[in-house]
Amino acid sequence: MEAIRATDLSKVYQLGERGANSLRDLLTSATRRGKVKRHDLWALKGVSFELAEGEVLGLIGRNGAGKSTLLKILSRITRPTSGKAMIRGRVGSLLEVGTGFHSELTGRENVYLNGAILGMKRAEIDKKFDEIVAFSEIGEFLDTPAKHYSSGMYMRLAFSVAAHLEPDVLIVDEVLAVGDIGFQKKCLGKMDEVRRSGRTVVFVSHNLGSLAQICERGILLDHGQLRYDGSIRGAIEEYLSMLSSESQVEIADTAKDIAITSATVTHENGRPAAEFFHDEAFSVVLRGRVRQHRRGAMFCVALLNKYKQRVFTEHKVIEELLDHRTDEFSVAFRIPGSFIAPNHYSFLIQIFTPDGEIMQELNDVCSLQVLDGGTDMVSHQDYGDVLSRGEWHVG
Amino acid sequence: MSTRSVEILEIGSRRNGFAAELREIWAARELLYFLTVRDIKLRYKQTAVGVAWAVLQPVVTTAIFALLFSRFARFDTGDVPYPLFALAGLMLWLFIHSAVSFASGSFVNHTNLVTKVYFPRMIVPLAATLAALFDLIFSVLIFVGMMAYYRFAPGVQVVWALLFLVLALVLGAAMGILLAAVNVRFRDVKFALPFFLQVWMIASPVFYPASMISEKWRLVFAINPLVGILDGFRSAVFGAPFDWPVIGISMAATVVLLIVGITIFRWMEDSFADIV
Repeated sequence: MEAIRATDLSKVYQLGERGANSLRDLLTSATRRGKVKRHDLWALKGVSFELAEGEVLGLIGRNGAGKSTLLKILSRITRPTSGKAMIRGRVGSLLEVGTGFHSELTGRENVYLNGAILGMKRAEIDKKFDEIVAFSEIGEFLDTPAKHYSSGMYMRLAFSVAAHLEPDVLIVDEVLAVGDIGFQKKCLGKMDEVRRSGRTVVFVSHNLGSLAQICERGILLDHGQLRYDGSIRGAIEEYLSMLSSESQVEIADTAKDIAITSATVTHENGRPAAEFFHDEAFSVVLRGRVRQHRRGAMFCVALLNKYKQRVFTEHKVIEELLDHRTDEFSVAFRIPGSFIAPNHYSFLIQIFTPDGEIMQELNDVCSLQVLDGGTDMVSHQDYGDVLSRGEWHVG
Repeated sequence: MSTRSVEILEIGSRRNGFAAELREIWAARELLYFLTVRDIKLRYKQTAVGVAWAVLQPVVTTAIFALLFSRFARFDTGDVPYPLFALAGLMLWLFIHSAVSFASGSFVNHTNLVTKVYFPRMIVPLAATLAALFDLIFSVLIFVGMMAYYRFAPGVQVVWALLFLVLALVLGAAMGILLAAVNVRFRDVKFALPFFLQVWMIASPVFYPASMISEKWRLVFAINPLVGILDGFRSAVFGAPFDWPVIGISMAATVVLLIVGITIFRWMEDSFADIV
């Protein structure tokens, strides 16, 4: 019997002038009716799927593919613009760890408040209270206001409450990436327990490894649409090939003296990828052919931010990189981890002659996303383009 | 198969009926309790005198009013001592004031309750309103003490006071629900509210008796729900005859305000998560 049945779910957000945000906007837009520019963003478009009772579904897709929107609709946080969904059984959703936690309240008070917010009954929290506290390892700090907790303790307590939620259908968004390694292992163990208890789970994570481990079903979303529905293995493979096709650009050989025929963004391990955590290094790999050496010709690689402005520009004389036994080349430019700030980027790649003539230009290619894997800036909207390496001193 | 009945949740583009929403709020009553307790606990955290604020506010304001209006300008309050008269009005006004102020910011100050989790959203402003009752308890105790000091024994009709306390609660909830929703969309509320509350207080018989208004205009005046609530409450505790037409109009206005508040709230709540 199916636990979830989603039929033709769509959600539209209006971007640009997103309606009136203050009374004045409303008044002025009322007088200029018709002139207001808006455009619709289909965060989700015609998504249908069924999930059987006890199945564990992994939702994958890039940032902005519609995963969060789908989770929010299934959690009833926002309504679909059209379409419907049916969920059989009690729903528990964890889109954030510690919703409603307040730093002025004690650990004990927060457990009850957060539990109630997640939909637990008081009697249920009473019954599991000791277990929750034991799992969180906060011990004697239970009656201390949470503002005196370390961030690790705070997250552990919050996760413990969430882990003891026992709904029929569990909706989880990337909450496993909290705490130290030891605690993360414990959390994965808990997820495994949930899986074996026969509960239905919808799970979103950027960590493909843990998805493959926990889920059996996989759904791939792309630009709000369902692109793959099947086994988790199949979904991951489809996702990786989709990413590599986009983080890569192939150019027909131009018969020029020196030509780049492909540019690919890769992970440290050489696999093409388009999403990296901020502390991971990545490379742009250029492959091509040299027909005629041009003394002093240069590669130019510039990283572009989301406004298509240069973050940095790198030049290198091509001859210094070439292996003269073959006319084909494959060079990589590596960008270290903990340098580029979380955001969206792409590359500008050029070949210059010594006198400044552009022989080849690939503009705005190899787009990639740097994700926040836990920087101090994680709660801020805009980081700038690079992570600050400066230090504060008194005096 | 287990015989346990399974809840079936239907999600669609249209909201559920109001009856279904009321059932949901009832099912989440424990959460209402926890949120109310949270709001009470947080209110005086990190303040030097803590809960003493709940006592200081009505006492000091009453003292100022008493000084102003028993020396410089006098109101005819019958055989009721003015400080007692003023406190009777002030305690309800301070309750409305804090209920509306806290409820109106309840979503904006806790956006995660809207964007990261679902529960019947009306619970949030309701909890803020209920939390304001905590202060009212202190005011009532002070009031009882002052009644004893002035040797003013209330008659049997003091039981009616409960009706007006409930009406004040309904009025606070109605305004709180309305402004909490409007505030999500229009942050103008934050700036307009202090001004609005000031005008509302002056337009209500808080420090003057409702009988000051000429009989002809009193019924119009009663469209402000606080007029009937304050006048009725005073009649109940001071044993004066009830002005039922005024009370009736104010009650009707309270109910209308509640309906308007809930309707606007329900109309706006679906977009909370998208715009907050």
